[in-house]
Amino acid sequence: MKPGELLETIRGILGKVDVEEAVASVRGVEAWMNRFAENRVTVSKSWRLMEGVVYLVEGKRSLGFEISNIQPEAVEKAILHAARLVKNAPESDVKPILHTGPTQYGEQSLGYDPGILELVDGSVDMVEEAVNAASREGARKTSGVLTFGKGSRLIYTTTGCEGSEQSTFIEFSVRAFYDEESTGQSVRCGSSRRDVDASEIGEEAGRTAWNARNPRKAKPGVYDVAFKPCAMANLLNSVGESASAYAAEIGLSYFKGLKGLKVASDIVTLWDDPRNPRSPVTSLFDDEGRPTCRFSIIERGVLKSYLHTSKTAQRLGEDPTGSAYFSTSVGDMVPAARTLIMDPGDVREDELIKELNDGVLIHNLWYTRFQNYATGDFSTMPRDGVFLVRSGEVVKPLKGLRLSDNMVRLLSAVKRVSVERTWVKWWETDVPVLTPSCVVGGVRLTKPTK
Amino acid sequence: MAVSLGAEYAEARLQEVEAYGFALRNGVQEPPTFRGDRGVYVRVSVDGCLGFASTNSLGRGSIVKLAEEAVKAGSAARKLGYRTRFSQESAVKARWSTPVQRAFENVPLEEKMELLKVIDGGLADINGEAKLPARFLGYQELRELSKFINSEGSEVEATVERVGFSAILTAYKPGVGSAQRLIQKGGSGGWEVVEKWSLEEAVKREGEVLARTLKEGKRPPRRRVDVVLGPEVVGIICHESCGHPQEADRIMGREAAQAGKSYLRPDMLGYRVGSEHVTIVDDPTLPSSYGYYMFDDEGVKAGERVLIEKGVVKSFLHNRETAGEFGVKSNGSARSSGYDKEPIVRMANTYMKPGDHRFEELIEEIHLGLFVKSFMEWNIDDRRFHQRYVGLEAYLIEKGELKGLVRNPVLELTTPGLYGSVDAASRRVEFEAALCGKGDPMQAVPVWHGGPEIRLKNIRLGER
Repeated sequence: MKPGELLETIRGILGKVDVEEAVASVRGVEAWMNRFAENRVTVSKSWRLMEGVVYLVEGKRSLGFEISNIQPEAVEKAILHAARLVKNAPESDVKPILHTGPTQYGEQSLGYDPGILELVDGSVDMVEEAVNAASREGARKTSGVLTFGKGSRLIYTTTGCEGSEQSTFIEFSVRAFYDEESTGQSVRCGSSRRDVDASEIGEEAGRTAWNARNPRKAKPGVYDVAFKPCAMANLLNSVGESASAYAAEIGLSYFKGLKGLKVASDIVTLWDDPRNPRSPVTSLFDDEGRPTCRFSIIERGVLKSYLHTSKTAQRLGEDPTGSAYFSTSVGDMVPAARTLIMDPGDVREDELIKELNDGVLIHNLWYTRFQNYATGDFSTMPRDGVFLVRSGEVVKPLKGLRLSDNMVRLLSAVKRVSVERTWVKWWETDVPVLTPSCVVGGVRLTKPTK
Repeated sequence: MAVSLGAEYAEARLQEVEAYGFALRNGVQEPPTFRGDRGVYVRVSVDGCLGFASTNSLGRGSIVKLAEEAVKAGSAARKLGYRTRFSQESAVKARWSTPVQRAFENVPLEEKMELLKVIDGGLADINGEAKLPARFLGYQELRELSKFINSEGSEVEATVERVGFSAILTAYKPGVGSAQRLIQKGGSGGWEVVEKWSLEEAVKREGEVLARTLKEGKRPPRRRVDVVLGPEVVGIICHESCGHPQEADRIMGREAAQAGKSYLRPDMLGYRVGSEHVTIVDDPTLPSSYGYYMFDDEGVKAGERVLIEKGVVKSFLHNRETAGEFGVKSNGSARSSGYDKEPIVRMANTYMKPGDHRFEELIEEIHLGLFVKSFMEWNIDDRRFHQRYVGLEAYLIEKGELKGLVRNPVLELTTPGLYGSVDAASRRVEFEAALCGKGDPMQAVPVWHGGPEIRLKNIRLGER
């Protein structure tokens, strides 16, 4: 069965049930992955998957479900069950408003490179190229993951929307080790084979690991910090999550009540850009059938917009942003960022350390956890290259530090932003981010007491 | 099929899941939802190189293609592939299921949804100046059927029923700010598991403590103190700085690019990491546990694994892949979170064994100290050596007695620094539920972790 056939199956069954409105979408993916560790491929994987999402609306009642059991009889049974359940579902505070057509998205591809699929028979060579590049730069062992493939999304609503989109994606994450405490990581992603240069990634990771050898215990305190793109992507993923209006409603956002107010320094502008053709995740339409668009979340430091579904938008008296995504953990559409893009600054990357003058350079962050999402109090672990900077020069690698601070304070303390930007998506950063490096003032770094 | 195509080993796992769930947002019922999954994976070894392929297209032609894809993947890896040697294990034919007393389908949906309403109602009339303006309550139940076969003749069929509850509460007091609490419950079985949680009382108590913490909580002491940790905190410690670093795939470097490695090396069995009061085990067979299983996802029988015994590293968690590398038998730690994920080394229910103290005895000799009952923020470095837990419900101990609430005490300790400071443990053990993340693509598997109350001597608290 192909994704289009599954959508037609769902559409046919929907035609037989008595519901006010419905939206059906199908996601299909063919993907391949090489995981490698200690310079060797540990497993090669492939997937051929598709799933359907059906969302039924009856006034203020709604019910959605996901199904990967795609046997026609199982799909029919699920839809009939949902159609019965929705009649007796509890009424919500507002009615979901599906996008009203006619809107023909047609068959489109924002970012599609057939060249990616040629990697099916050559991806191990790409891994080898990255491993060899890291070794040339001084790494003793290299690990990572290379993932690529093609995806499709199709949508049909009873309110007049139809369309399909095809995309391709590639993500390459390389972590090089000089020894157990001296590591470097480099990440690239995109929609085209040309977006990822295995040698470049391997060299970057290997060079950082080499430079990070023999790290010294650091003195805890408050430092100005230069965050490289992997570290920034980790922080910006949290910003994207916090921009969700639903997160604000349930206490999981540090932006609640701050729309129109300063939440960052003047040089911070952040967009959600689902249609960026360079992103490994592109979307023409959201799960309510609404067209996606590029819009600013933070503009020159001011929180300009929350991400909205039709329901969160109504509750806040605002407009939907085309950000609806069906969530099985909530049972409803929730707003979510799809591709985060931070505007570049005016400092060249190689000048950023000089601009930092005295402080700490952090390449990557990992394991970010909050004491309080509503205030933004959190901590996270710097890794893959942490360096002390004195008088604009990197003087030595550090170890054993933790970043413990507040997210809004960090955003407000951004002092410099680099011209160059990097696309980041990896295990720790699930929303693609195009981000510069940034210098942030007065960051609290701590270490163990025993 | 896969063996005829050139694999020296092949396994397949078919999985079918039906899950139901619903949530309550600030007192408003979100729509109920369900999920229906069905798919299969094939994993092979070709000259020791692992290939994995998954699909949810289950027609005969698709399944034949799946076997070809798995063998092709393993074959393609040979150029740079790690040569895996699976441990030798006996073939088994088994069928197991989680015991269920009251099946979920025998409890009306309305009754289940009403439970969340009742819990939320209890939070609305909390006394005090602080209120709980943001409340999210979630419930999910699932039934998973799976069948595992391998080319050595093993066949294992499993039926697992599992239920989970979570809540995130935000207390707010004008002029003071806010505080948050994440509550997670989980177990295997039927509706009887939910009834045992006494959720209405349990969540209301958490809401009341949260509001009181916000209103009354004082700054923690700055001098060195003795610290008593509750089972919830001990559980996350056991999970993060014992269970994870003793996963053999991390020790081998298999997870180095994502979840990280371990401060332990393969030759560190027998290495002392804690005091004689520290014995930590992992046991998938605990009745009604969230991480319950009888056979792992490589068809190996499960049982208790002693990870740290009286402060000394005793064993690692193994699947057949790591056991073969270490020259030992698998101890049944292979888990796959779904038909699209490979089986990797995982924890199940990790906990510290009890001691011989009563709780009162743990605190009676403390002149100045803290009792940290629950936590919110936590993290640990990717070698599992440098960890932090920030307390939520925490009390000052003065002259052997519990006093007032303390806000956000920070424990920031190394793994040997923490386990080496334990000088006593209480007699009772409690468990908490969580979803543990690992692997690439990410696999979230249900686990329990827990322990007794333990006492740490001479701790300087960290900074917020």
